[in-house]
Amino acid sequence: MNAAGAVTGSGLSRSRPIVASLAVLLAASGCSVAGADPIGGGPDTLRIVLPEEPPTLEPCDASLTATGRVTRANITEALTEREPSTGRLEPALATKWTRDSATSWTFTLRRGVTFHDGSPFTAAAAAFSVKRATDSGIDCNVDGYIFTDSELTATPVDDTTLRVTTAKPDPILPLRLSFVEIVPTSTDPDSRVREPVGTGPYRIDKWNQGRYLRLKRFPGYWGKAPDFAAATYVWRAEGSVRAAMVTNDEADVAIGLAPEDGAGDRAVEFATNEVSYLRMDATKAPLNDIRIRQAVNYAIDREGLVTAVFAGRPTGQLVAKGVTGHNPRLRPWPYDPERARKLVAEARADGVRTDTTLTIIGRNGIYPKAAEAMEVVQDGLIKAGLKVRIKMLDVNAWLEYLLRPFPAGDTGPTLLQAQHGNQAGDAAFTMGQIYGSKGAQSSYGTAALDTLIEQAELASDGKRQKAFADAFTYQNDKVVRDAVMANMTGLLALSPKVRYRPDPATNDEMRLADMRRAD
Amino acid sequence: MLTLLRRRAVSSVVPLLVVVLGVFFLARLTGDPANLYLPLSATPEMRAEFAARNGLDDPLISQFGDYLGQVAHLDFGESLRTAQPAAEAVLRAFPATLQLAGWTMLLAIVGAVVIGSLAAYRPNSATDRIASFLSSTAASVPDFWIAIMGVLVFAVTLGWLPTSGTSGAAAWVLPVVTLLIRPFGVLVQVVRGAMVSALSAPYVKVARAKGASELRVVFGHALRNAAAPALTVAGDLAVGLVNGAVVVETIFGWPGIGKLMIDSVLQRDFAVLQAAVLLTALAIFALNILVDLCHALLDPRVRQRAAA
Amino acid sequence: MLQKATSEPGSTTVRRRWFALLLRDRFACAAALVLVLVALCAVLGPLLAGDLATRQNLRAPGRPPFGLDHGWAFVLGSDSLGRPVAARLLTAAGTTLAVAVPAVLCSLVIGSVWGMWAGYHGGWRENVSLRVADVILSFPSLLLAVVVLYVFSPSAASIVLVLAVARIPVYLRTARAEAAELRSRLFVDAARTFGTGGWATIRRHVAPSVLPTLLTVAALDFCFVMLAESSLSFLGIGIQPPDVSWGLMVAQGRQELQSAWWIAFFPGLAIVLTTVSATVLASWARMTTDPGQRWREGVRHSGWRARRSRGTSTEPAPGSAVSEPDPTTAPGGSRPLSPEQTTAADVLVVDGLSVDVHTPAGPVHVVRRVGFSVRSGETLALLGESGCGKSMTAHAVAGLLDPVAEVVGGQVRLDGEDLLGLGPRARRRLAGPGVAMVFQDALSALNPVLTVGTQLGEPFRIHEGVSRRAAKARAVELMERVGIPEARSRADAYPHQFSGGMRQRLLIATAVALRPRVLIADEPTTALDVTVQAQIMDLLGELRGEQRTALVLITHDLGLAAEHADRVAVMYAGTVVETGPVAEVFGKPHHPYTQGLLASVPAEQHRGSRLMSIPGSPPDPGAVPPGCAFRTRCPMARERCATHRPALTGTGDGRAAACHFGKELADA
Repeated sequence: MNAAGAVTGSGLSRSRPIVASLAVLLAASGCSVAGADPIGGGPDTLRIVLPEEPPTLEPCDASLTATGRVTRANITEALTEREPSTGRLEPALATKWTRDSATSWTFTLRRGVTFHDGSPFTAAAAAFSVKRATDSGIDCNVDGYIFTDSELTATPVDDTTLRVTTAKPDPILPLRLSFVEIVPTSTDPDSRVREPVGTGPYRIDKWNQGRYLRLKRFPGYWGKAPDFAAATYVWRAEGSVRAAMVTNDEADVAIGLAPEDGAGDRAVEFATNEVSYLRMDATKAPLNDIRIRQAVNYAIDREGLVTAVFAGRPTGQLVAKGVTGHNPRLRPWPYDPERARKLVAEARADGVRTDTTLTIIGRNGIYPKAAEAMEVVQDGLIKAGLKVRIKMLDVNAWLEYLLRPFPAGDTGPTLLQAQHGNQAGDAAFTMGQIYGSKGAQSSYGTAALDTLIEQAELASDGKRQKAFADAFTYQNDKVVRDAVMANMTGLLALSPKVRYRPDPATNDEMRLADMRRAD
Repeated sequence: MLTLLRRRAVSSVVPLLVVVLGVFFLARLTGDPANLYLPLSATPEMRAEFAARNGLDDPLISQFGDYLGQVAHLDFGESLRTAQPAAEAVLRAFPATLQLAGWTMLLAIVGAVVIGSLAAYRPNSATDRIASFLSSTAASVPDFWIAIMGVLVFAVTLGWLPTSGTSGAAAWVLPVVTLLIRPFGVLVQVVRGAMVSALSAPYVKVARAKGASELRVVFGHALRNAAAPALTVAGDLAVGLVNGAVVVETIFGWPGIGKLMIDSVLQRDFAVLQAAVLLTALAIFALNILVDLCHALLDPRVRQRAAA
Repeated sequence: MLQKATSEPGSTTVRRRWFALLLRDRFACAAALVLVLVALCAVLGPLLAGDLATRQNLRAPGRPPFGLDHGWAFVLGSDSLGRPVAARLLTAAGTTLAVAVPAVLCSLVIGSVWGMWAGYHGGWRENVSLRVADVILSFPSLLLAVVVLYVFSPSAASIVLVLAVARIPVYLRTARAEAAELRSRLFVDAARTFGTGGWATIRRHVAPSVLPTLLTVAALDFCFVMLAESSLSFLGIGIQPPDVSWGLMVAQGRQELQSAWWIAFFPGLAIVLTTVSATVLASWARMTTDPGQRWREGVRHSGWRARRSRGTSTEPAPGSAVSEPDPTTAPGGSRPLSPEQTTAADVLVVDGLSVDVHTPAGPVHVVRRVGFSVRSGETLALLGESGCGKSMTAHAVAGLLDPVAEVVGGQVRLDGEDLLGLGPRARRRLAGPGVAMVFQDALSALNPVLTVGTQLGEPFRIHEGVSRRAAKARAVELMERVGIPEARSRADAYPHQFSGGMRQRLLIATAVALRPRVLIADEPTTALDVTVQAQIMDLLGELRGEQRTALVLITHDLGLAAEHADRVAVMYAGTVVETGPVAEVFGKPHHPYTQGLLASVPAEQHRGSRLMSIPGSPPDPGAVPPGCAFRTRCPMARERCATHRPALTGTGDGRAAACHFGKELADA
């Protein structure tokens, strides 16, 4: 009993050190959080709330949505600029351009432009930026997205003239160059920069990672000075919170909202380039039978989807109005469950194995209520007489199904939930990779369609438009690889302080200079 | 006490390694990050180059060896997503979580001790019933519901508090309250149960026989005896918070470790994930040691056993 | 033969009794009802709802609740795909329980068994187990979920697996902590020395004490599991549509909290209700299974405030098992003491003290009009079998009754002042210097987590407001006084570091710290061996002499009473049946019960022997027969005994007995 323990001290006083150490712990963790977030800052500051923090502001990754919508046209600018509503290419840092030959272009650059660091904008900087974006070791996202397999060289002719040559003829080179953000030659060519220097109307003032990003009006900007002296970005993952921030006057602009987020009369709808669709794996039974693929199209209640699930307009093609190649005559498939049932029955009668279970590969968060949308599809297909299950995945797992090479193993016939947004404004950025039989995102194509695509890619102007439009029609009538669902409608919330008219590119490129004070 | 500390520190090394090893290998079971970080139209060459540059093409064992070697030099690798050192991102996020967790636990424990003791003071009384009902409700209401409703009511409708963010004391209210409710509910239940037993113990009668005030009886005598189960449960709840209060961090835009960890899993940002898990595991081990120390401080019998 | 040999109740009776107990608790009843309802839904839901739960209506999504125009299924509104929420709730119950129950059970069973094993054995087993728990806890469960999504295909089994693994450490650690705490207590050690196997000890001794806490945690875990399942469905490894669970409904409704609150609210409410019901039921089960707590069942606390103002009313509470009219008790009953006994020298006078215990079946009169008095320096033995109300009397006098017991009449006068009329504060001021108490089991009566120095010094801190240091010095003096060697160094030790006898000395020291005018010693030597017993009694005697304390010695040991008491009061069935000087009472009892007691012990073996051999057993306090309570065992019982309760009346020479034939016995 009388064990010798090294026990000393009075009992009641023993709880004190715990309390004390807890207090020290809390105090030691400091007050670094409190008071570190300056959203606000007077009427001259524009407060914007994004769904996520940009991973980087690196200009050559500006084709990433999260980066581009902050960087592009605000911090850095390109030589050319596509007007999203009309699709026309406008001058930016280049004032005009001419095609010297099939593979060579000359750009005349704007005079009197300076970078945020005070250095002048010259053809050398432009050439440097093109090289950095397309031909360097830093794996620019722009390089993969815009310049997939085209090789180009940019050489300064004099201070204000730039010559760009391509290995193969490229009728839309100036459009491609609208994605190359121009940076000064002092930028590191071999590694990514998080906080770039550009020529844009705003420069980076402070980026407190995880909390906020503040831009300041650049007084040396060559164009018209924007209304707001500064802009502060913060990020909240929850749509309803973003909406609430605008109604609560904590933010002036909230983007990426869904109708159910409750922005009320602050909400502004706008058409986007995003089109939601289902990709059918036409190589596997029963989807290898065109009747089944048609039945899938008839079985999807597109009107119902845009009423109940997400905001959008039913459509029959992957590109939106305003993109070169959009075919205005192509109608969305009607909802005709009866016909779908008949087609499935016909195919079954012909020996098609319609009792094979189809797997819908969905991706959570691809658009609002993604899982519900797939439940609608599932419901329709089951009514048409098919067997369907849903598998919702996270982005990376889903990407393995989206991209070649497709996962080995027996997944059976799949329907892939996907969405495509043609940012660049030309169907060339859609057709090849999605419908070409070798396309990175293509599970099935036909030789005839490949030929149509190839011809269209080399055409220019009016011919180009028609060629792509025809290719879409051909796909829709003869191939039916997809069930295109809807052209998605974007939603943002604006405070009464701000006037802003969003356009189809707003999600990828949100120009602060277009945001005006309401008073 | 020091022996206990030293022994715990030593015995924590192997489990820490297991955590690191587990996270390392399991993370690599979740697919190739190249899909996420390369353009959709990336060629096989680009993928190969990506794998080589990020050291993902070596055999897993040698990758792990390299990783351990780096960690030994306090190099935790670079984030795929932001191209910044992973340690930087993690160290930036962790204090925010720690502060949130610290305040939450402090308030939850103090509140639960008061309410739980009050309820246990007269078992089955109206106070007890109400406290039990409210606390079990609190423990089971979904946190996101409280969070969003809190935003709607207190920020949008009443305008008393900011919706989110980290600026100023007012911004702490909603996150802390949201986070607090479940631990508080659970702890009230546990404290109440333990206090009911403690208050019916003979030594409580003895204390009353000495003329001790009820406060002294409850807090001086019964509470410390009731502390053991409550402390264990509180430790587990705190561990949950240190591991990241994902919902709260997501909804309120709190730049903490939970959101970072989720994002790095979903983004296959292995370096950040590993660094985050290593740091939180360290914190959890430290927390558990702290809990054990508290046990020892509160109960001489535990102390004696620890010293033996 | 104190206890009637009752046969072990069969399991049906046990079940019925549980059911009866459940019915008595409206709160738990409601909870059980909810759970039964949920279970019914789980079984019948799919039958009732049919395909309503998956029938989409995209043209009319988000119908608000509480409209009856579209049938019962839409009474809780419809979701964003136009499916009726009520029908989905019904259908989802089964899926939800099919995930939540196995997940909670798995983690509970594995975690608690593992934890008890680890805590019981200690050493490396404990260490390894805890580190395993640490590893699981530090592991991001999301990563685990994504791995499962990748490696296995999502199914209910994988959800259960992920959730159960994530929760195991919680139970493991809780069970471990409690088991380790129990291990340090004596009884497990004792079981061990008797050679009981590890698992048997765990099952018999550890599990019953550990389970209540674990059940509370498990009940709360239901909601955790259901909600975790909903966040898993965000990742795609939750329940797969068209199946539906409450978690999935919450997850889908969450996005529409602002525009259509009902989509997430009703499944959320279902989760909360189920969890709260489980918690309420768990805490009820905890109360019911814990023998130490069961008496609290059905206790109403109306009496608390009433007790404070007690002292004026001496009417017995009406409506009880023994409320038959009893004419003989009238004035004499409340003043049972002969005049020469209530002299000015009486320090403590207990007069007509009645105590009720509240039970689910109504109040039980455990102490009825008890009266006695003690002078300073005198020892009164309160003698009786277990359950006769002597401890309850003592606790009532000391003001230490449990909340379920209530003084319903009488007075307790200390130096003429009625203690029962005092407010709690005034009462506390007298606890220590006025009335002090020595308890039976010294180990549990000393607080295990405070040093003995602190505990011994506490009376000084409370009543004299001295500093911590001064209190400790006084404590050391006290320890020396009661004969504890090396008192100065041992003041910093804890109760478990002392032997049984030493602990009893400590307890006595605490009681006499403030030189109380009355010291009540409740079976102070029961747990001790004979030599130590004598030492303790000698110590009490010394202190009584020294401090001129009036000592009330509560005991069932005739020998002890004979040796140490001046006077004796014999109690039976909650009343005093005989009082008088000890030698005379024992020499010539005036009550048949006292006679019986004495007859049961051979005279030369009084010391240490128990009261064993009166035929029959004392009545249950709830069922005391009318008339004389002893008549059923009394050899002298007559007709009159059945109708008239005898009052305690003087039989001469400072003696009194509560028997119709007291005088006859005195004169015989």
